[in-house]
Amino acid sequence: MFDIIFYIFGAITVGGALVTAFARNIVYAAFSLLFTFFGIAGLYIMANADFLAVTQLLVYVGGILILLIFGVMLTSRIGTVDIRVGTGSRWVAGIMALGLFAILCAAFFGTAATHTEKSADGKSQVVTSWATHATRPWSGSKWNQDATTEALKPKYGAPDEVKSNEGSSGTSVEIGTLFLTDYLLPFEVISVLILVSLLGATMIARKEPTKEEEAIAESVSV
Amino acid sequence: MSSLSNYLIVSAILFMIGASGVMFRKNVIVIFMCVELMLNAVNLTLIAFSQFMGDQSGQILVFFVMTVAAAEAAVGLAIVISVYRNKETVEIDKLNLLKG
Repeated sequence: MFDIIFYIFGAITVGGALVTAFARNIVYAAFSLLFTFFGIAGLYIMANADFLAVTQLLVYVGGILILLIFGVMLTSRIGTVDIRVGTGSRWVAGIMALGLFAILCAAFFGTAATHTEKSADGKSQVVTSWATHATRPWSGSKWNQDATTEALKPKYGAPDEVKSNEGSSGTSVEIGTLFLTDYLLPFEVISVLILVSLLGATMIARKEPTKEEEAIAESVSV
Repeated sequence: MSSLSNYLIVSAILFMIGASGVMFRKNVIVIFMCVELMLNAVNLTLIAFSQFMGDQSGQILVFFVMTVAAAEAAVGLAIVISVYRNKETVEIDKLNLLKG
């Protein structure tokens, strides 16, 4: 069940991303980005990050996406077709993207990959990487303690995800505590950053006043 | 296959699509969208690892990434709009004033 829902959300996410990156019509790209953001929010929920999923919807769908759609409407004429780069650069770009994918996969699955390790008593045993761990439970969070203990028994294997989410009180309590204790300084700094960036955005995007408008403004203020 | 590797694969695919979109497309707005895709892919990785390790600090980092993404989108779109006002285009190939 967990896997099926995961695949549905993953398909929504990846499909939306594909349309975003390759659709010729910019409006289609903007709207398929909506599906991608929703799919990612669903994936967050499945990873027990409920508060972040709601934040994702509020910030990305409610803020950034609206901003992007405004940008589309303000800058593109209706009916213009986006021309992509020439065929030569297209090959280079495709190969670079695939290479990036290969590097990422190598990093994810090659880091601390399966290797034999000598334990203290001289026996060699096989240690597997974290990404391909089948015996270790998927979630180590404290909302998942029952499943953790269950899955640590070797015969059970992976935990039952549906059971693991029972009794979860959400992550907002812990996130709030972390924000106001360990991460207080970055929290304040980032709030200043977003204030400055919003002010800067309005400064950059405003129209330069003409001479007459400046004169009018001065006469009004005097 | 554990669930962590599923998340990592989705995140890698998403990052690849975002990167190829940045390299393929000419419209600045679409490039912005693809940058957002890449940021979301990184967020997904952070969430997956935070869940796997049982450490909520990863989620805090996702909040910071989201905030920086919002600031970047606001400032970037402001720049795009003011460029459009001067040059009447948002195609990156035509924004070549700095060409030597």
